[in-house]
Amino acid sequence: MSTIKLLSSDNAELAVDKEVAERSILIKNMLEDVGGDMSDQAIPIPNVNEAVLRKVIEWCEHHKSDPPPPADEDSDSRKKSTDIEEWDQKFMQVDQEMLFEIILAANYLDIKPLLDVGCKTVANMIKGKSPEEIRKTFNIQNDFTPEEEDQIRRENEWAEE
Amino acid sequence: MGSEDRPIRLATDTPNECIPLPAELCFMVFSHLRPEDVLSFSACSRYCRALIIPSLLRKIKLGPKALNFFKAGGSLHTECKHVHHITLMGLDAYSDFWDLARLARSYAACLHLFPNITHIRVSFYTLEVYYGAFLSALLLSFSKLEFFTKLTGLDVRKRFIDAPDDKFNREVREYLPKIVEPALLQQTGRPEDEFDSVLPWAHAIHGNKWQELVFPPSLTDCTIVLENTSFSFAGSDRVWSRPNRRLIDPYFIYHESQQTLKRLVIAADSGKGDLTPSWQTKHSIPVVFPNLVYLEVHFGAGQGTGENVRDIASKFPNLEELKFWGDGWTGDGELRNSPILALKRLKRATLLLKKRNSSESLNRLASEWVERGLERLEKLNFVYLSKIYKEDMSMIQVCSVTEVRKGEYRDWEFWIGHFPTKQDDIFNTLWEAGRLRPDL
Repeated sequence: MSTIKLLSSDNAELAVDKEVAERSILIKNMLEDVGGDMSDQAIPIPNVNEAVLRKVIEWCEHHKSDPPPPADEDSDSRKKSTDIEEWDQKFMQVDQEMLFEIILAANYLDIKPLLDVGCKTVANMIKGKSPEEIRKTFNIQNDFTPEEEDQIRRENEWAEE
Repeated sequence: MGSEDRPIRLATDTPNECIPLPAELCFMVFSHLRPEDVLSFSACSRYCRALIIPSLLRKIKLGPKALNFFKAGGSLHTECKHVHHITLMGLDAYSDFWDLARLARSYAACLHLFPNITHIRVSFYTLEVYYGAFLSALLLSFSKLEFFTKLTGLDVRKRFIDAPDDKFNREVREYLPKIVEPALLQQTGRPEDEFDSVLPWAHAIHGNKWQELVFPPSLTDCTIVLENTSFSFAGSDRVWSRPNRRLIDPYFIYHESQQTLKRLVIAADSGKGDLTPSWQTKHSIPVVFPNLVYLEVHFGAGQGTGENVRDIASKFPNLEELKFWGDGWTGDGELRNSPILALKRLKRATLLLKKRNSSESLNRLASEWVERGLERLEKLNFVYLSKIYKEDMSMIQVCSVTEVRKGEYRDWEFWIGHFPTKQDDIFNTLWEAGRLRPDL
């Protein structure tokens, strides 16, 4: 199996199986464009640092033989569900900074299923919580006045009609 | 609900007061959340609210309470521009005519606040003899508003409900004809301010304002669900004799959008079961919808004839998907030479059968249709309905489907539900079937 090299933003060179790296549509397309032969040259991934890139590669390793996502990927069932398989749940047990870095990297590298898992993880951190609890979770500063907060509470009721 | 509510200043320049993701990824997160969670999130900070409000308001359900937030002076007034889809709520609840008319009028009076509406959805409930009129009156009021010509989606449904009770009937029968005559208003015993709110509606229904009625000219997507195609109004002789005959007909709604319409769902349970508007038959105006690719028609039991299919073929020559919920065209010998063969661009169809046919014969039929010109055909669903009676004498409709794809077929079935009383209500049953299995 052929191996390629990825160069992180902080100049770390990581060797990866081509098959694993190609979970990233960005890398896959890049390799196709150059005719597949990148054995002696590292592909620069300027937006992702080593720690995050290692994490992303770990995910790709585990999911290298996943079937491609169904064509109808925008179906409601996918969207509304926040179910995450066990391995991915454990994988996503990282500090918040890393979680958001992984999401950004998955987006940049175009790894849709990883992006999905990341977004679902964040969604689960919001689900069922009050605004105050959400603020605490993500360290968001409340810049509303108490009157405004009260008004928003009432405004939000219109959606429940 | 306080009149002291004012627009809240929303910040778009403090992204640190949110989750540290760019907006498009935030929306990806929100796509996994239920609306109530998104609302909670929007209450976290000014930036969160500013981020969410536009998408939150894109598609709204407008009820009497919500209306107050959007009205001038209301807290969401400045955000009205974000609204594109509106569902008008509350008109399908059982209520007396006065309440319905007043609510409808309050909607009509405020819709100008939303200059960017492209879709309106309304389900309503009124008395059988007047429901066409009620809808017409609603459209009449919309037609005066700026967005009307830009409206691309219209979804109007008469709620399926048993006959209204006597009080409702009596009110409409007794009062409505009277209130166009000011002198007779006094006799109804209603307070005068009520007349002011309902009077224009009564005029629209009984008066001479039909000629002013115009319909959305650029719809691409239209759903019309009525229990009866008859749009004739009580004492319809008067209406018939008017020059603007198209008002008799529900199809006028989409006929105005002849050049733009792409998707049409029309459900009308009626002995007439005819897609051809009466004004067209009378005036022989050829009507063709060149851009219509999706058509779903619901008829009642035994309805939907070969004539209807022929009519569809001539009117919608570029149809790619047809759902024909009527079995009046599938008698002996009719299937082989079905007028469906005229729909040369057909890719997918769902067709209701009167009789159970063997899957093999349906598969052969599909192949024959392909050979005879339906070359683009990808999938055919032949649907057959049967009943199962349970011990408690309740009935279950079974929908059996033979699905044919490129020479292969598979049979599957599903239950539509219990119908203890409405044994012959095939129309509702089929409507339900279509909702239960949108993949049909």
